[in-house]
Amino acid sequence: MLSRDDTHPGLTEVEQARTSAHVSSDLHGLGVVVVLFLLALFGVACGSEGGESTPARKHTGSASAPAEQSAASPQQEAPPPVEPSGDAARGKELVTEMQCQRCHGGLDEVEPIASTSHCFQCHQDVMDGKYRHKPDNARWQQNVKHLTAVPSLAAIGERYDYGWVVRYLLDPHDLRPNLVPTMPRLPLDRQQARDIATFLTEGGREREDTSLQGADLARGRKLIEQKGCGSCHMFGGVPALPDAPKAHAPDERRYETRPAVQLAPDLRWTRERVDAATLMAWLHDPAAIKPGTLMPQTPMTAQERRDIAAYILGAELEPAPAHAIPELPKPLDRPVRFAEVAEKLFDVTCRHCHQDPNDAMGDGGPGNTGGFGFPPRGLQLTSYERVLAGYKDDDGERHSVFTKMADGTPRLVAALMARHAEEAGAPNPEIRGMPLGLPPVAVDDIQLLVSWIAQGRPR
Amino acid sequence: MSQHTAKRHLIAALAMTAAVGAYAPDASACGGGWIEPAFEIDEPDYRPQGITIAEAQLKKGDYDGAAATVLRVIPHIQNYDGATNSDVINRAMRVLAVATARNDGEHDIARQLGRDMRLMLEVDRDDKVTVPMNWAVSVLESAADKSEDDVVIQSELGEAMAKSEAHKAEGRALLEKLAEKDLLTSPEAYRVLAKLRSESGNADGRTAALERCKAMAKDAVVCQMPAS
Repeated sequence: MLSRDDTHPGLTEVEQARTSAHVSSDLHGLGVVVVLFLLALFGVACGSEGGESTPARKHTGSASAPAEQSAASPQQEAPPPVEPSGDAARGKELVTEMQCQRCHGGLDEVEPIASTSHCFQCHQDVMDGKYRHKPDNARWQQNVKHLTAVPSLAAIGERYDYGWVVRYLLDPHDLRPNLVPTMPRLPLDRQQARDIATFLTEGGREREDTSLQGADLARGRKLIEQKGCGSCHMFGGVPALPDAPKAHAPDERRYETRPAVQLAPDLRWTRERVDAATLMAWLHDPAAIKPGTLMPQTPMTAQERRDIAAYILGAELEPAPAHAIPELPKPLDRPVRFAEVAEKLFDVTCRHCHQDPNDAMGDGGPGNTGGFGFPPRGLQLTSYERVLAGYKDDDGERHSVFTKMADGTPRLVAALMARHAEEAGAPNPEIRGMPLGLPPVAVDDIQLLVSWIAQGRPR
Repeated sequence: MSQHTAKRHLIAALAMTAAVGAYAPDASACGGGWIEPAFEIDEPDYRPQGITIAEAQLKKGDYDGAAATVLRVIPHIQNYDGATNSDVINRAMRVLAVATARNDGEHDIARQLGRDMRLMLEVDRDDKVTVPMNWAVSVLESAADKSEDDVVIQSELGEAMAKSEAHKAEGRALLEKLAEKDLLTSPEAYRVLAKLRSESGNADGRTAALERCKAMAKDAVVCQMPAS
């Protein structure tokens, strides 16, 4: 505990209380990891999951994240349940089955995926002018220049909390505000998520208990500003960091392309992912934990690290902004042709996973020829006829994507609306949100689709 | 330019000329003969782009133009009988088959295609409709066999079959099955279905199919049919 003298006059009561509480080490250890998208750079902390023991690592640290602060974050209102250990061997099989390596690097134990199926390798090849399948690289480069970075899963066990990895796999959310893709919502049950998390976190090192006693949150905040953390990281829930990069604005189609900024996580989630010991070690020498990381080693004293870690793990957070589920838009009065819907929707977003195999070196994408653990659905969204040709169900029978759901919404529209619901934390059990692993489609563009369908789907 | 510099440039020019001359492997190289390059020229395959253009013409209803484009891009396509593993040739054959079917087996395609294609379609023979229509059906059947769950091809096949006396019943069954599941992929297919329903006395069915055709078609001409 801190003495009264250790408190900072500029801090709120909650912050003082938080600072004075030493970080409990009953978090699980660092077992952890993660999966697919968005984990890479900063592995951050966890701290608020008292009582769990991780199968992959013993739990060591004594970190800081008292109850008062947990109440500030909706994600931390109640301690998450303890996640039992999974089967690492089965987890490895599942990583291959779910094609984690389709996007992520750092999976040395897993058979590499064909380069023609690797999302980001293809995009990088386009940027490098190597993709010779089509002659118009320049146009493609504009479309994919922001889709070339993805977090590596290397050293996951060194960085993340096992329980968090399980939860994130089951209910992924946007961790990196300047990276357009997000971790896709995969077809996993809880045991499968445990198996994967166990495989990914296997072999994580144990760290000595780390106490944040004597840490000064206000000084930590000041140091974060001085060290320029905000040049890459955002920190949601606290006053904006100076020089914080602007989050991408999909509607404006202006995307961040600097890998370090794209991959930098929002620091508000650090406390859910990393414990104090790991965070301190990470701040000391990121590359020692994860070789090749874009997180630079920043000179600082042990006390400075402690202050920064205390602020990251303990600063009072405003609730994360709620993503409102929009109402289903009404059809427009003006005529809407297929070309307009394709230009705004199908060609921009959908066709990435619902490709024509002949146009994509044999791989029609997860939504057509299968991938990410999904069976081949045969849904190709590249032309008028193909959109009308529908998809295959589990039995291989074809259905129209315009078939109405129970509430009368055409299935294709329902999938787009479901993505908004997922972002709002209310996934629709009836239908998976689309686009998978990408931000929800703007309501104006959904309205185009609604209008086109209402007008009889004119060619 | 100084006299010294000019002299150096002259020497350099003579040296380069001598080097070029020394490279020629034989006398023909200096006199109009073709020198085989020492490396292989990796020429892009433009046929897929050409077929894409033909497919777009097909969608616009320019059936003769689509067929002509195919022949310009792949002049030797008449050598194929539909049994090939080449994706681009199969796409080209499909364009020809659909264009033939939508032109009801007759007409201008044959005149535009040139002598070889006319022979293939056998339109110079007495029966100027049946043979080309049967050919179109066989090409589309072959395509449908290769892609069993491809309802785009099935729509085209149903449309072609329905226009062929020998396959009409089979074609209607296929079109009705797809329409029931809302999987008919073109207004042209709905127009053919409307005609079939009309012929069988199903006035409501005809109207429904025509309405779908009109809603889907960019140009109402696609859905024109004789008054019932």
